[in-house]
Amino acid sequence: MRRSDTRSRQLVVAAAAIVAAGVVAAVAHAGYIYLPAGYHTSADVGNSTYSTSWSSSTNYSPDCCFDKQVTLIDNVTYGWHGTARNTNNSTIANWYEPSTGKKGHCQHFMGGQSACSVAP
Amino acid sequence: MKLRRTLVLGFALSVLAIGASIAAAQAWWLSADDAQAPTRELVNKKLGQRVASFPGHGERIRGKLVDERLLFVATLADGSLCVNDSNVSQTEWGGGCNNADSPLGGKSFRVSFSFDGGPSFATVTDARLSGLVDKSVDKLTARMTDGSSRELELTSDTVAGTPYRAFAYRVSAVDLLAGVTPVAVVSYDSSGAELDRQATGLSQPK
Repeated sequence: MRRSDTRSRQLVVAAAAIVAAGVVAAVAHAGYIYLPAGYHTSADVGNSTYSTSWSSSTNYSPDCCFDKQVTLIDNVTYGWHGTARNTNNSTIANWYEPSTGKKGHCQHFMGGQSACSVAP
Repeated sequence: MKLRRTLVLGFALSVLAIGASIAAAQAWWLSADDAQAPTRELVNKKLGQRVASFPGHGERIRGKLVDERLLFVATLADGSLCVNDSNVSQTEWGGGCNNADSPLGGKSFRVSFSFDGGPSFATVTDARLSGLVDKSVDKLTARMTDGSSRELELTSDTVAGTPYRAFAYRVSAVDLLAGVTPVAVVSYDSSGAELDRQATGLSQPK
């Protein structure tokens, strides 16, 4: 009885570990949305996790003429890289520097629909 | 026996919950994938066609050498029109893309403001304005924080198979170090009448 319980617990822990590892690996490979799609008001900001994998950050809006900004911030000097501010549907910042940890950062200066993402 | 059933049921529920979480997360990953699609296509196209350049100052601003940068225009498979400014090696670039049905957002021009360093303007080492204008524009100027204006040079012809001319303007080292920055871009027709105005988002002119 006790041995069976122990096996069940081990099974649960092993399954959870495998799923968690898969999630981490998939996020690292494909990037993720760090500011969910939805209506964002002026001064709303989003920040991704830091990773040496990221090279691209995008602030996407299906709407026209929505003032917004996106950049990549390094974790050494905390300087901004590839920064772009405009009213484009896709506002894009790219910085390919695989030896430096960086995060995606987006900011809104008007209200509108958008989502911010990072990717390798 | 009861404990075993509870554990098995708990395991089954955990698997279901984890599966649901993965399904939900997968939707976001797909959204992230969609959001990054223009970037992937741009990288494959090497950002598109080079249409203008930002000549280097040949000097250091706040310790950073200001190198030549290039302006690229690309039309993507879905018709989106992209304008990006990049260093020569294409390792640092930015700008963006617009839907095919309204590449200039219904205006006579569309501008992107890009900078290196920051976020405080006192730490910015390079600042640039770039974009496209339609045929109604005869002259484009940047209004600066000190109330002065700078004319933005337009390409002599339309670019990259589009009906638009391009511009690529780099804030001078003198202006940048003096804290004189562009606050708005204004377009004029051939009679000198103002067509459109777009703020860069920096502080208002004095």
